[in-house]
This record gives sequence, C-alpha cells and structure tokens, in this order.
Amino acid sequence: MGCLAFLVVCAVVVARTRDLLAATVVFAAYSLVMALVWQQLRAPDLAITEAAVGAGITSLLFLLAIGRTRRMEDED
Amino acid sequence: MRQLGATALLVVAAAVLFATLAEAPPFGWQEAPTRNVITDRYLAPGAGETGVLNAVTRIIFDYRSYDTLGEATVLFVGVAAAVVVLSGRTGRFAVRLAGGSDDPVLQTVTRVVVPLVQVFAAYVITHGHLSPGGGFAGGTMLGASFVLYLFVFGADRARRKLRPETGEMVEGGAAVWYVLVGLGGVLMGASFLANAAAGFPRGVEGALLSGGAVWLIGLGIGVKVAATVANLFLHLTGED
Amino acid sequence: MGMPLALFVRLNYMAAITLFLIGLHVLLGHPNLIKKVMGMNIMETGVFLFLVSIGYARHSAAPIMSPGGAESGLYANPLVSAIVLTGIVIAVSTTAYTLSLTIKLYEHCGTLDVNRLERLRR
Repeated sequence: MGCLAFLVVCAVVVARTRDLLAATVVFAAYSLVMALVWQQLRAPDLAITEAAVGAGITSLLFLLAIGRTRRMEDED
Repeated sequence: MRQLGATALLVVAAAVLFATLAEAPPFGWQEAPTRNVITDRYLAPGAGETGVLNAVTRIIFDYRSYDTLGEATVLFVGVAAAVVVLSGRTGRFAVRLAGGSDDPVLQTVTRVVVPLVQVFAAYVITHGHLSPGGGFAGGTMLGASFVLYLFVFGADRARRKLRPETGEMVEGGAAVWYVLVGLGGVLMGASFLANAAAGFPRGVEGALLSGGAVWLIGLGIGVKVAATVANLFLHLTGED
Repeated sequence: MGMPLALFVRLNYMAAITLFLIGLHVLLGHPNLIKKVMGMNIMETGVFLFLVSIGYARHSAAPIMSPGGAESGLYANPLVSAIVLTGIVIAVSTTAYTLSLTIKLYEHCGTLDVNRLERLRR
C-alpha cells in the first residue's frame, strides 16, 4: 500500500515538474518501485524485466533524448 | 477550447473507469473468474508437458511462442525505424553526445562492474526456464552493460569493441535463429514452433540443459535483445 | 458490501486507474513532447498494474514449480505475467521510436513545444 502511494506521488511529480531531467530521475525511481510491486504481486519475471527495461533502458532513452534536445520545458 | 476537450475526456474516462471498478471482482480473490481450466494447464505441477519449471517462460516460449516471435519482430522493426529516423543529415540544433568521460573513478568502476553484469546477464538468459528472468530480461542487462561502457569510454572505443555492422548481423542472425528453431518443429513432423510434440529433448527437470526448444529460443532472444539495445544506443549517441 | 469498503478491497485497481488517468492527463494536457512520452509510459504501467493485480490471489506463490513436485498449490496467474512481459517490451520499442522522432523534430525546428510547432507550420 505504501508502494502504491509512492507510485501515485511519483506520477504526480513527473506530471508537475518543469525540469525534464528531474522528471526522468523520478521516473526511474517510479520504475524501481514498480518492480517491487511486481515482486509483491508474485510476478518475479516482471520484476526483473521492469528493473532492467523500465528503470534502465527507458530512463536512459529519456536521458539521451534530453541530452540531444533541451532540459527545461520553458522555452524563452 | 482544446484544453476543455481534454478535461472533458479525462472526466468521462475517470467516471467510466471508477464506475466499472465497483463491479470488479475483489483484489486477491482465490476463485476469480480468470482462474479457469487454461490457467490450470499452464500451472501443471513439476516440469509439466514442456520440461520447463517457470510457468511464465512456458507460456512465452512454448505455448505462445508464435506471439513472442511477433513481439521480437515489433522490437526489431521499432528499433530499426528509430535508427533510420536518426541517421542521415542532421539539422541546425543537433548536439553530439559521443564524448565519454575522463574520470578515473568512473572508468575503473566500469571496468569492474561490466564483467559482473555480463556474467549475471548470462545466468539470467540461460536459467530462464528454471528461475525468474529469461531472454528479455537477461538480454536487456547484457545490452545495458555495453551501454555503460559506451557512456563512460565514449562512442569511438565502444565502436571498436562492437562494430555497428557486427551488431546488426548478430541481431538479424538471432531473429533467423528463432525462425529456424520453429522450422525444426515442422521438419520433425509437428507444427511450427512445436516443442515436446516435435521431439525436442525435454531433459531432466531442473537441469540447466532442459526444456528443448524453450532453452534454444531463450538463448536466441537473449542475444537478439542485447544486440538490439547496443545498436539502438550506438545510433542514439550520434554518428561519427 | 458498502461502497467505501468495495473500493478499499480494490485498492490496487484504484491505484492502476489513477496512474492511467495521470498518464492520460500528461499525454493530453502537456505541450512538451518528451513529457508526453513520459505520460504514455505512465499510462502503460497503469494498465500493467491492473492486469497483474487481476492475476494475484491471496496466499499464492510465484508461478515457478519445484522440480519433481506433484503438489498443486495456489500460484499467481502466469498468463497475465506473460502478457505484461510482452507489453513492457513493446512499450520500450514504441518509446525508442517516438523519442527518435522527437529528437529529429527538435534538430529541424528547435523546439519541443506543440503550440510553437503548430505556429511554425502556418
């Protein structure tokens, strides 16, 4: 239940922050906690895949995309 | 106006979803309607009819391995499309990220960590039929170890370790390997991607070399996913 | 069963729907393209959480058999795990493709803001 609350809070933070890099870091934490939730729901295959794909590859993709574009949302 | 439409859509979606929720079966119900004769067959005790202990691996590489072939194809096409989009002439605002780092701490730690990650990835790939994990998770870890090397030592040195042409060849070869294992089932007189029915040896249950076609397909998927991840990041960090 | 209790025993489903709605909100309401892709990912994990929660049963074990065991205990539903495993892999390939399109768009237009991109078109 604490994990679920953490997930929702992380999702809201990703939605609210204007800094894309911060959003990516929070998103990686979100994915790791999601892996914990998979483990609690007795799906260890998903936990190990989510930890590798969600927290690893997806976050790296976002980091690279930010590196090749811009970090802040506000464009002035 | 558009903001109003988005909000209205959101409110309608929330209302429909939460209204449906009140009628859903309770969470964790042991006699939920999703548990039926099909689930019982997937959860056959011991090694079952497939020679595989992990029921999820049974489904993705045996009962529904045709779906997994499609999934691997989607991954292949998606990443190939991304690479095609990113190659070619870049515009005014392009940034290159192929630099790497000069930090000795980072480089030493990477030298120690990368082999450990690769050993663990090999374990996850080859034990997918006995323990959690399998081709997709292990392949991603194997690819991620290369991505770590790429970020720390720069694209030039990473390209010397794994030439992009080699990576693409390995990726395509592993996809062909999957189809060849499937065609092996046809050659032995059963259906495409058949496992035990085609006479692939099931082996001793719980042994490393067991599960017949499942083990072979898992190995191919692991290599393929690793090559896909490595290729994607080699292209994402920029050409040249 | 009263309405509040009915919702409480479905807490996982509620969290899944909340995540789905937050993702949908980001996808629809945010002007930044990278943020939209993040919203899409949150939406996807919401759907995955819903599916895996359906497969869970109280006091069940992970769906991995013990060798030689003939006992049939209660296991979590492996079918949803297989479906969601496919979904995770598809999600990362769509993310890679969408982000590469976003990078290309930025290299040519110099902005990630949807409203600015629309003004550029005119």
